[in-house]
Amino acid sequence: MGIETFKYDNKIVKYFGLATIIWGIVAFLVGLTIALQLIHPIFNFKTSFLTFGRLRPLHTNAAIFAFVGNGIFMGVYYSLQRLLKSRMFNDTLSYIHFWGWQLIILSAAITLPLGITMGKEYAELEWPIDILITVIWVIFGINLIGTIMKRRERHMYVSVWFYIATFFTVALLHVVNSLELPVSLIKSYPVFAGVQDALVQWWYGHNAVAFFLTTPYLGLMYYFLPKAANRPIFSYRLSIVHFWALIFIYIWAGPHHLLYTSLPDWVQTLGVTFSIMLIAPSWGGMLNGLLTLRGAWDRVRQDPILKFMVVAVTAYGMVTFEGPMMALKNVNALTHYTDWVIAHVHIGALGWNGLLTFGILYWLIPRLWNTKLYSVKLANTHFWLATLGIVFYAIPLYWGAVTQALMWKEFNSASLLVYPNFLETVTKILPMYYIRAFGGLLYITGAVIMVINLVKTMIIGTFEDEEEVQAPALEDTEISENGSVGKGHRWIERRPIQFSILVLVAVLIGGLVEIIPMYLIKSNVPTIASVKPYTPLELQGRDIYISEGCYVCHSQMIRPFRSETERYGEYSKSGEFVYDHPFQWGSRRTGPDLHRIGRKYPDAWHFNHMSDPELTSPGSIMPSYPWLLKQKVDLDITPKKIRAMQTLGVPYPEGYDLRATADLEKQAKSIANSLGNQGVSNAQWDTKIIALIAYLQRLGTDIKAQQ
Amino acid sequence: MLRDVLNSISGIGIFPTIALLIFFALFVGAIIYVFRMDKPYEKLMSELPLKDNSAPKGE
Repeated sequence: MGIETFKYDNKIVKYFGLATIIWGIVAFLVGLTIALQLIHPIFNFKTSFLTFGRLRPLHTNAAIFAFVGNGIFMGVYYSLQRLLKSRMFNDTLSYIHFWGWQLIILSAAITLPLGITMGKEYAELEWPIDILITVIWVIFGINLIGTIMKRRERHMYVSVWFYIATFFTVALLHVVNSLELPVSLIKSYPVFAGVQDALVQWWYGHNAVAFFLTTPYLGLMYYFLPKAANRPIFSYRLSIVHFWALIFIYIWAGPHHLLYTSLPDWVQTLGVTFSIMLIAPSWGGMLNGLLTLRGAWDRVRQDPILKFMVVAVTAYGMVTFEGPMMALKNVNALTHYTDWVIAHVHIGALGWNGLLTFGILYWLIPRLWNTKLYSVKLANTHFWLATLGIVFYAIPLYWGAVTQALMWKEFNSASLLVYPNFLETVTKILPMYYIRAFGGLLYITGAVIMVINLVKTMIIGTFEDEEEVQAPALEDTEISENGSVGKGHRWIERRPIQFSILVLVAVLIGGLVEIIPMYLIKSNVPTIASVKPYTPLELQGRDIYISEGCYVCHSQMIRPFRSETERYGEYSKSGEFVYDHPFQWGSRRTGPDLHRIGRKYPDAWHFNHMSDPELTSPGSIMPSYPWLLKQKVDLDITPKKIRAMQTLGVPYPEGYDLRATADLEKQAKSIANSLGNQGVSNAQWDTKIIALIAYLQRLGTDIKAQQ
Repeated sequence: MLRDVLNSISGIGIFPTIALLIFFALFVGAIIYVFRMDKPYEKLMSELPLKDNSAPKGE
């Protein structure tokens, strides 16, 4: 047996580690900014680039793809090389991956504040960036699989399975959900519309949580927790069952984001069923993590790294219990559209992802720099600040969520809504937003202390780019230690290709069964004769609505509850959304639902409300949009947009693209006139506000016309 | 609604059943496998991450 000498690439781990730290701080700071914006609109700074609607997508993208994304790659590049006793497949690919990923993040940080967005949550980035993501992800995949192919360790440890599942599933999710038709370099329309777009989006959205925030981090947990505790994982057997069950079941659960919407009932039921089933494999992972520390709890008291990891895994357990509970229809009826969802995701993001990342950083940085951690005391301080930060973040939001949901649903003895004014339910929970922001501040303070601690550690240590190691070459024989040829899972653990195919089959089944019927459902969405395509002006207005990120705070989906039909009007029907590329149902009602806003108020109300919400709604926390009154609509692109819509199947008459601009001008002038009659003298027909008013006044009126 | 959708695709009625059966088979297979797994092999696998003894030089 020949012993081979080779080197681990530690530099790439350092790069991703530094990126994790830097983007983490950025993501937290943007988070704190938008938390302050919800307290008072003054923090929107009266500029279009920094409104809540544009910064919130920046925050989610930064937290998920920049902070956690770089954290994943840091952990994968470190653990993969060591688990497989092999340097990464190709150094050039490693560094293209690193710089490519940072370029994606930078593009997001530039385009999102500019209002360049797809308008789909966690998939906001426009088509050129989507292509870049695909290329870079494939490069990561080649590097991952390539390393596995040239490994010196015959068996693939459970972490490696999680990495493989992550690569294939994220690739699949991203490509399907990003199917879009470009109109210009910075604008495209998704190929799916309405109900179908919603299903594909939440199939993606939920599995982004599953395969970006969960499976890679479970892989990291299975490597770094045993390392930090210096003892093997509690049960390798449990990890096998838990892995397969998790990746198989997760992919089905997406529709729980769309309960009581216009999505067909059978899909909703599937989503609920599989969400409940998810408790088992999720808790399998949590228990495996926690039980690894059996008999070592005394060390948890002293070692901040283990503290971070224990609370991270506990947060994972809480959040994976809470999720299925929120997927129950009766619970969802209360929690959906409220801050409960925000609290829930932050238990996951701050608790599971954040604390595990911190734990790994505290373990990894001293090793990479060949020294001890600068200060264990500071790490302990960070631990308590982070943990308390999460408590102060989440509890007020749960409290506020229940308060607000109950206010939305409360009727008096005369069967009238007790709080018919939506704003009243917002101002009531503002104190909770103060406490939440304080929690966020604690969390950031902890993170800053970590940065100081880690930088000091780097200064006192010496970094080694290349770590020389020795390992026996992999032999071709398949004889195991007791002389028997491997069978069953042992067989598959040695064969990355067959393993990958099996993973793909497992995740495809759930996707296909849910999505194939939805492709064909077009003929099954009950069509409504009075629902017509948007006029060119309304289409332009809709794109402004998307660009400003209105969907971040306003839903367009009235659920069939009396409390909602009383407040907003007739509940939403699936046939009403057939021309919506993309759907704009939203997920949180910071402001009221807008699906039936059309013709509810006069044009002048909207004009005044957009220029300063306090004019019409004193105490409102909505940002003002004065630039919409000045900026002009891009008229030249109208024919292109109409043609794109025609390609996607929207039935504008043939050759309508040539007449669209004239129609747009006619409708815009009539709105400007009506504004003039209502006392608004400074409205110009070709400004964005006119297009937006046209869209808002159209919303939900196709059905009203029928009645 | 379910019936409408299923009726429009020939043979799709069998899809969820097949999916459930595959999942069930996979799950049962995994359970049977892990119970039959021998101890030394399990030990070998679970100790894989601990085999490279990278400790900070300061410790």
